[in-house]
Formats: sequence, structure tokens, C-alpha cells
Amino acid sequence: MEVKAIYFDGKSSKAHEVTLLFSKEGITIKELEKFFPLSKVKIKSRLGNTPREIIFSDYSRCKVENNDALDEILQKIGYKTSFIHILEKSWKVALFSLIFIALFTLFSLTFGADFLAKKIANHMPSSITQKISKETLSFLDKKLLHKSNLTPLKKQQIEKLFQKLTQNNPKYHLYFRSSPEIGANAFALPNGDIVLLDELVFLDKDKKLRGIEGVLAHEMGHVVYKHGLRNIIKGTIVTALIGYLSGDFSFVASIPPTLLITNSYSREFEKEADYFAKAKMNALHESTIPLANLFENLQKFYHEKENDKLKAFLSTHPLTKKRILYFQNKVPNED
Amino acid sequence: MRGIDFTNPELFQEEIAQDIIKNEPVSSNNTNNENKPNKFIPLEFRGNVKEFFKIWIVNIALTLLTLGIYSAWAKVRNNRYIYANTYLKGSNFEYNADPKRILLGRAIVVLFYGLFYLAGHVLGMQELALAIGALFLLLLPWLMRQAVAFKLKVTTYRNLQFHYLAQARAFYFLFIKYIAIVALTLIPTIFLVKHYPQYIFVFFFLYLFYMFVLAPAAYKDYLSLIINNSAYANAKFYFEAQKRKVLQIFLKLILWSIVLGFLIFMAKFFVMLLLHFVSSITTNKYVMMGTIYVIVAFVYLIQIGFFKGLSDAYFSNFARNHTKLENLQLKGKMEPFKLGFISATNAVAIFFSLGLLYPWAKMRYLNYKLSHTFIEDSDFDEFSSHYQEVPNTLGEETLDFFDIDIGL
Repeated sequence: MEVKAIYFDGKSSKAHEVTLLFSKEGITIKELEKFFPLSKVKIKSRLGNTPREIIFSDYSRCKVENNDALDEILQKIGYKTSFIHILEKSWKVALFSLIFIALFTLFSLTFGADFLAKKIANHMPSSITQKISKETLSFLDKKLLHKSNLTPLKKQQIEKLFQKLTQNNPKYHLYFRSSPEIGANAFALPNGDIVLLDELVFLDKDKKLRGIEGVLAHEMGHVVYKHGLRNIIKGTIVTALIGYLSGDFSFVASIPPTLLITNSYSREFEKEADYFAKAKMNALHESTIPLANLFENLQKFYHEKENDKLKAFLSTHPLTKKRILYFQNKVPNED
Repeated sequence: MRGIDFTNPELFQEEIAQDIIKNEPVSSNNTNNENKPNKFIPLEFRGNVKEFFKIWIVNIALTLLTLGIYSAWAKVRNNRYIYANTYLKGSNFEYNADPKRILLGRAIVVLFYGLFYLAGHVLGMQELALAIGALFLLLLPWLMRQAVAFKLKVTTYRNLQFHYLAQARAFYFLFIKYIAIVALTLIPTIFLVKHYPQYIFVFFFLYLFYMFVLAPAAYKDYLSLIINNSAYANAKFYFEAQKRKVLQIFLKLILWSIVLGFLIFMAKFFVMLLLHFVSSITTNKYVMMGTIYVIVAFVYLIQIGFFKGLSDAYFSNFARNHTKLENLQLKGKMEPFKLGFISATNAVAIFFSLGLLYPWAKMRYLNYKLSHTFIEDSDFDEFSSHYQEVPNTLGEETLDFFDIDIGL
């Protein structure tokens, strides 16, 4: 049993063409009349069709081009084909790997990332939350938000509702802004800062502005359940995972988060916040019908401006019939 | 042990070599010809996309399955595949890293970071976190030295080892030198402007100084520290270049980024047009969101990918063209635009195939880089293990912390 090889003695870079003779006892390098027992030989595991390396105890090294011939001989003298090579050479295993990776990634990006984000959000020190929120608000103030045009009287009225909702908890702050770019909306930052846009206030036809009160309660829900923070953390986790999977091209991974953060809350988060809002309003013995009316106005408003689809697209709250019915107390929260 | 005996050393003068390389296309099939001096031979890459795909994907699956532990083994197999398929004059390179060592290195990094996080964010001991961070910064030059040395040490060609000869103190010296220069210029300027705000323009000159004097000098010094202390078997690498050359690369890259910035600006117009078009034919939110996503990703990937390939070509050519292995000149003949194109299309392909085209992209990139790297031809049989210590000694603690590309 013999096979051709290239021999390097480890002392000079000169290549020697040799013949290796294999037996159950060991390997003989024919031309050099050298014998090594198998215990003094390390045969590296096969890797694709790259020349197989055999390293001898004196640090000399042979390379065998004919992998298949060598494998056959090795099997005869009692070597097993390396397990990793068996996996690496099969298209079937490659396909299984692909499916496994896809499922694993999908699971990690959805349930795994959600679970982790929740855990991390609960342990996030408030100094960091504060910093993220302040930076976000000043960024938005520069780019998209403008001064509010509400009358002082209206502001006072809303402030009062807000204090009633938050029971003067110093964690929460209300900011009045306007933004034709964003449209009728309100949003919450992780530290408890809540931004209310004029455009939404104008749509509330209720005298006591109970629709706005409901919106504020809904935004409080986002804060209480740390939805914003969880979104950001989830974005980071997703980036890290994709970054790892994309190897050298990890800059590819910096795309998803930028879009994820600008993206809206998931339906589940909205539902949670709705639930919170309703419970809060009920506890204060306030009706949620005005909130349902506000949603209806919002929907009508955007329906009338059908041609302005871009704006409808940018509005973050999915206004489904279900949510209106929910606040009209016609359907339960479960579905 | 034999030394190196290069025939006709007077013929290896650089001008002649450069003349030849301008006039004569280099063919890769002449490796068996008799030894003509002045001829340059390329590295050759024989990696196969299908073969690499299977190796790559199985190793990722095993890494996920073992929650990351297998990643060290996966790294070794990937590197082994790439090294073993890189040929110079008929012989391939060998990658000999021990996965257990790499795992140890990674475990230490994770431990370090875990302690840092625990101290700072969970226990609220900011001082302890600060101390751990400071310790890490203090160790950083040493770690970088270890990483460079490890990378060279685990590489062999024709069963002879590469080595790194510099001690950690050379890295500390480099770090301290540049930190001192920045501190000695920045602090007085801040002081000055605080008291005399009308001198704020000094910052502008300082910026120019950092950008066009200090940064090129630092880059050159760093390359010199790496290459001038590298050796293959008994042959040393020599690097010599003027700062001016680095500055030229910087200026070219700035020019390129202006051009790319303009293209992005144009692309924005195109995006707006397309959005109006899309919104006129559909009201579906997801279609619109998808369109925006695809366009933004596309533009961004092309911009970053192109710039990465571009600068890689400039810097790789620079390092090679100013490096000799004893008397043998190295050459980099990558076309920056071409490598930029390869890199940009790679990025797009990887992104839109959800990573599946990574093996193809990797092989393609390596193939271009390696086949455009040349070394002056000689009798490569004549190296000997002169610098080489006893092989595989366990004396030196080597940790694979960072992937630092040394441009060789």
C-alpha cells in the first residue's frame, strides 16, 4: 500500500517527492528509508480536497494530493474517516445545516430576542434609559418636531388630565409639539417622556378631551411595559446575531437596526398598551368611548386624504376596526 | 543550516524590477521554468466555491448547535481551507492553529467583558468597572502584539514557520508616542480657546495636522512595526516607505468619498421618484415599506462595499510594493476600482441572498487579491529554519484576540 507525497523536512524549504509505504505498524518514507510507527504520526483530518498533511514526530511533514487513495489505505490499516469530513462533504448534511440555521435564526430573532430584550430591559439602569431618551428627543426636535400651537388654556387642560393619570409620578413628563411631517400622533420614550402632537389634539372632538386622555394612558402603557426599550434592545441583538453570521461582511448587519428602530411597535405591544389604557380609564371611572371616537376621526381624516398615502404609511399606529370596537367595549381583548 | 544564496543579487535592483513589471505581463504557468531573475510570480488561489460552501455551512450549524463553543474549530477549518488553497510556486501554505488556544482566548475576552458588565451595570460599582476598563486599555498594546505574533506563528509554508520578532514594548512605545503628540497639541489648544475664543480657528489647523500629517505617519509607523519584525524561516521582511505615499492614498480616498457622496445624493432623488411611482400604483403598506428597505439597503451596501474594496486595494498595494523578503521584492497590482466593484457586488449579493452567497463572495474576493499579489521569483528551495525555535514550544502564551490584517 503506497502513495505519492511531497516531503518537507522542516529544516529547509526544499520539496522532496517521496513514496509513502503504509502498514499496520507504521509509515515508511521509501526514498529516505525512514520509518515512523503510527503512534508517532499525526494525520490531519481531511478538508475538502486540499492536500492532506501528515506530520511526523520529528516535525517533518508530508502532503498527499490523492486524498481518495490515502483514505482507502488508511481505512485498511484501521483509521476511521474523520467525522467532521463526513459531514462537510455531504450535500444532504449541508441542506440540513441550512434548514437548521434558518430555523435557529428565525427562532432567535423572534422569541429569543423578545425574551432576552424583556430580561435586559428590566435590568437596564435608569441612567442609560435617561440618556437614550434625551438623545432621541433632541434628535427628533431637530429633525421632525416643531413648537406646539395649542392655546395655554388647552395645554393646561391636558396637563391636568395627565397629572390625574400619572398621579403626579415625577417619572412622567408631557411635551407638546407639532409635526405636519408625522401627522396626528403621540409617542412615548423609555424614560417616561411622552410627546403629544397638536395634529392629534385637533382631532379630539370631546369637550373634556377624554380621547386625548385615553391616548396618554395608552402611551403610559408603552412606558410601563418598556416597549420602546425592548424594541431598541431587540434591534441590537438582531444586529449582533446577523453580524456574527455574516462574518467578514459584518457591516451588512448595520442595516436592519436603523430600519427597525424607525419602525413601529409590533401589534402585540399595541394591544398591551391598549389593555393598559382601558384598565387605567376604567379605574378612573372614565369612558373609553371618546378614545374610540378619536380613532374613528383619525381613520376618517386619513381616509379623506386618500391621495396622501405616504403620510398614512408613516403613521405608526395601525388603526384597525378591532381597536375601535375594543374601546367601544364591544369586543374583549383576547384574540 | 544553509543561509540564503540568491543568484545575481545585483540584478534585483528595484528600478530594473519595476521596468520589467511594467513591460512584461506575468504568467502564472511558468513556475517550472528555469530560474530567471526579475520575473515576478503571483500567488494562486485554488479555492472551490461548492466545496467551501459545504464546509462553511456545516461549521456554522455546529457552532450554533454548541452555543458558540465550536466557533474556534470552525475558524480553524475555514482558515485551513483558505491557506491550503493558496499556492506560491507550486506549494501551498499551512495553517496550524490549535482551536483550544483560540477558545481560551475567546473565553478570556468574554470573561473580561462579563466582569466589566457585572461590575458596572449590575452591581453598580462604577469604580471597579472603570478599573477593569483601564486595565484592558493598559494591556491593549500587548494584546495586539500577541495577536500579530499568533497569526504569523501558526502559518507555515513548505513546513517552515513565519515569526514575529518584536517585543510588546515596541507596541507600547508606538502607542505612547502618538497619544503624547495628541495630548501635547490638543490640551494647550483647548486651554487657549477657552480663554481666547477668537483663536477657535486653531482647531481647524489642528484637524488638518492630525488628518494629513499625524495619521499617515502613524499608519506608516504601524506597518513598519509589523512588517519589519516579521520573518519567514531565516528570511526577514523589510518595509520602507515615505509618509508622502500614505498621504497620497488618504487624499485619493477623500476624493473618492466625495464622488461617492455625490452619487448617493443622486440616488436620493431617484428614491423619491420611485416612491411617488410606487405610491401611485399601490396603497399596500408592506409593498411600500419593502421598496424603501430594498433601495436603502442597496445604496448603502454599494457605497460602503465599494469604499472598503477601494481602500483595501490601495493599502494592500502600498504594503506589498514597499516590502521585501530579504532581496525579493513583493508587488501588489490590484486595481482599486476593480476590487471596489467586487466588494460592492459581494455586499449586495450577500445581503439579498441572506448570507448564502458568502462563500462565493469570499472565494471571489480572495482570488482577486491573491492573484494580484506578486513576489520576485527565486529559488524558493533555499530557505532554512534558522530563526526558528524548537517547533511547537508551549513557552509563549499566544492568544487569538483580534483579527488584525497586517497587509501581507
